[in-house]
Amino acid sequence: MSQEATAQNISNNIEEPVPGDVEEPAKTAETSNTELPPTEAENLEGIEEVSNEILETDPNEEAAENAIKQANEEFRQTAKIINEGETTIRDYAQQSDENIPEESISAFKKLQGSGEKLLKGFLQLFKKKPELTDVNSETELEGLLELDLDLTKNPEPSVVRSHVKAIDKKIAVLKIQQNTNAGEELSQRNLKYEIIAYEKRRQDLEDYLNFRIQTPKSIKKEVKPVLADDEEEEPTLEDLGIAKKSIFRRPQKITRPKTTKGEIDTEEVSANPTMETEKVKVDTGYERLVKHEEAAINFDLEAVKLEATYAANRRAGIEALIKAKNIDGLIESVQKMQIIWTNLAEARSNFAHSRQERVLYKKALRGDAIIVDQPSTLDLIIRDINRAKQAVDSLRAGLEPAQVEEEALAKSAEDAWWDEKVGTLAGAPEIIPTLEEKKAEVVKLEEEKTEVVQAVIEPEKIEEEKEEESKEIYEAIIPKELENLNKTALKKIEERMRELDRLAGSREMREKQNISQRQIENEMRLLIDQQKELLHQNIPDEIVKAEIESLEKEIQNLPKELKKYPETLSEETERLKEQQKVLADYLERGYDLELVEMEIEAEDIPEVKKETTKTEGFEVIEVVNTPEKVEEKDPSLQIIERFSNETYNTYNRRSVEISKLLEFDDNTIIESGTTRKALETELEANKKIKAELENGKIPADLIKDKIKELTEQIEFVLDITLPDAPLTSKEVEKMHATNKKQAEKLQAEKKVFVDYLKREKPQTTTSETVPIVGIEQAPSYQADKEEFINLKSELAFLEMDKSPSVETNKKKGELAKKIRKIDFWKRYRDIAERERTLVTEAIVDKAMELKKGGKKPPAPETAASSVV
Amino acid sequence: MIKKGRKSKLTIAEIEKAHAEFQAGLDSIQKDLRALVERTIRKIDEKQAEKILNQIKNS
Repeated sequence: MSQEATAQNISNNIEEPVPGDVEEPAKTAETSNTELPPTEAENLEGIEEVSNEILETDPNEEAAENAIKQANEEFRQTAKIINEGETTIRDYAQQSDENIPEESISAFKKLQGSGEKLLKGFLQLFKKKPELTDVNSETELEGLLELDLDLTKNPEPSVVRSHVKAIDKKIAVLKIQQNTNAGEELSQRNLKYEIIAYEKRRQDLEDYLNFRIQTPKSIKKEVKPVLADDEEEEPTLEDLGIAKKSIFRRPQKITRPKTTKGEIDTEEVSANPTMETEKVKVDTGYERLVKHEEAAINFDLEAVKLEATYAANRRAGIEALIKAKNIDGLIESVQKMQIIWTNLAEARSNFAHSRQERVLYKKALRGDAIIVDQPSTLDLIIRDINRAKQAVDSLRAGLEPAQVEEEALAKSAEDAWWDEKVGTLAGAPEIIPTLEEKKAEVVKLEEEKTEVVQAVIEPEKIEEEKEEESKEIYEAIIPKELENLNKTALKKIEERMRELDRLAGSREMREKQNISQRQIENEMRLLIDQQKELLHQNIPDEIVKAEIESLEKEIQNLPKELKKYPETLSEETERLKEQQKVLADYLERGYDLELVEMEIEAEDIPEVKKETTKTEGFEVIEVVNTPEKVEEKDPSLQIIERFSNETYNTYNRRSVEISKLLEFDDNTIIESGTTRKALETELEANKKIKAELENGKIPADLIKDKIKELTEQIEFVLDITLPDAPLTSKEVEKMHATNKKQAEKLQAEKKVFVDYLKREKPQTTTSETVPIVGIEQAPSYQADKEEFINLKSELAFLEMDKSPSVETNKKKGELAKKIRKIDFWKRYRDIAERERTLVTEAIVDKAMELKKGGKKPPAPETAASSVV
Repeated sequence: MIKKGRKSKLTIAEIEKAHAEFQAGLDSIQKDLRALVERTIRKIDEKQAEKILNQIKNS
């Protein structure tokens, strides 16, 4: 770069001090600088000129002149050195047969620029301050103001506003000067008048602006041409006659015109009486917008065509971009479409027919994307946005345009990359994936899951886990529960789908239920997904969760139901107490209960041998067969009788229980651990036994069981180990005696049964029952007493709230069932979550592996073996 | 009546100070220039050396 050229550069950039012309007094430092001459001679001339000017007025002119001259010379020297440096380098590079590095060339330029800036800055210091004129009046000054704005020509408000701003700035500068030049009378006076003049001018402009805004149409009429067919041109604020903000922020003040051809709305006319008389037809742009929007909302045929054309163009554009593999273009188009979407939704919200529509569009703007017409332009735009996004992904993945279409379906619309790249524009909706996308995503995820699960989770591990957790649940309950839940859920889904279909078909119904088309669509998608899962025998988490919640609710409600139980319990208790009382009365009338009990306890069981061998050649049968003997309370008979009664009572109670159980459904019966058939068989058997007992016969098996029981008891009594504590011989003796006595008692009882069985056998060869001769069928004292004892124990049981009644069992069974169900579903959910975590981890690992490049390094053993 | 009324606001001291700053600026530029020349020569040398090395390798 030559020195001259450098000087030329400087001349382009450096402003020279103001020459100070009388004819141009208002020319300030901002506009009056001259340039440095391009050549050295000219440059020097320029400097001299500056110096001369300084000489005229500056007492330090010599110092200033010298400084400027020296600085200029120093700059030239420096510029020369830089040039020399550059030349040297060029020569050096040439010798080495190399080019100068690009960055070095730009660095040389920068250095030259720095020098120029330095000189320019230095010379700026010698610039003159603005001229002040010696004026005698405000009027004189006014004409000098640099404001050629002719308000009679109706300048644009924006232009006027910029003038106002400039004047404000000017006034501020003048006020600063006023403060700094204190004491200089002339300049103070001039400044004062200058400020006043500018302030006056400012006021005029403000008045003009206010006038323009308040009476816009009269001005508009004069200056604005009719914009008839220019669809693309945005109406200016003046076109509309009011500030744009007022249109968009207060749409309620502008109502839709009756026609779409630019006629002024009646409401608007009434607000502006002048318009009514003038009837000026002006295309404000507003009408165009209304026409478009109105038609689109009302399904106007032309508008639909227009929409279709736009949409077709949009799609054609996307297609073309895909074919050209223009990713950037696609991204840009998505951004544009998002902006279009926002604008359109905003416009619709502002110009909607009704408040309701406006609210809907406003909601849409907030992201709740609720659209009135269907298929709506807004929806179509979203679809196109998704399509373009997917295309970008596919192209980035290296697919050919032909494959993009196919691949696009399998791509998820929610993409982290996209969010990072484009972000969400303010007001733009969240991109909602289409049904196809969602389906494709599900299929893809399923495939991934299967692959990874197979690879990562060892089947044995799952089995082990299952066994550990609850084998019983998995084997017994799961298939049935799954089946039931699956069926119920499918049924519910189908029902809801039908309902949604109905809602989708009726706007009225939608409004009634306060549900939008979009919400319906979303729910429908969800249901379809769930249905699909269910058909694949997978139960979606939501359903599992809902089931758990419902069961938990039931459990919460169970205590309420159980609360009813104590009532039944107390009823039963009352009933039993009543019975007890009756029995007690009965006993009191004939017998002293305590006395009787004492008698029974004190009564020694007579030796059967004695009785049976009492008579010669006669069997004891005689004795037992004699009713009188019963009256005489034959101890053997009493034992048999008691046993018979006890057995009868036991079987009777069980029969009642069974009858109650049989009233429930099969599932409940199964839950209680038995089957209907088994219960029925048992009931039948019980009936037979009861009938036998009622007929005075005891089934042989029962007697055998009793004998067995007694045998065991005797063995137990005789085998009692003596305590570790030292006992005296007397104590030992006593213990042995007690045990022996008890054993003898039991043996005697046993003998009764054995004899009884032996005796009856020949008579009951064909029957398995043993008749009890002489047992009264009417309630006997003994029977009543036994029953009373039983009742006593039963009452105690009930008071402890451990009643084994059928009702309680049922409730408890239900509760247990529900708890089991909840446990199962919780476990089911946990396992699903664990699986998902494993899948995610595996995917992450896989991704990390890919990122690292190549396959995972072989495991140590493998590596070792390969080395070997 | 309008009369010229301009004059320089700078004192001798201010002029001298400004000039000194200007000179310091120029010095800095020259310093940068030297560094730039050296850097560029080194780069050219490096390229040259690389070239020679390649030639040796290829031969």
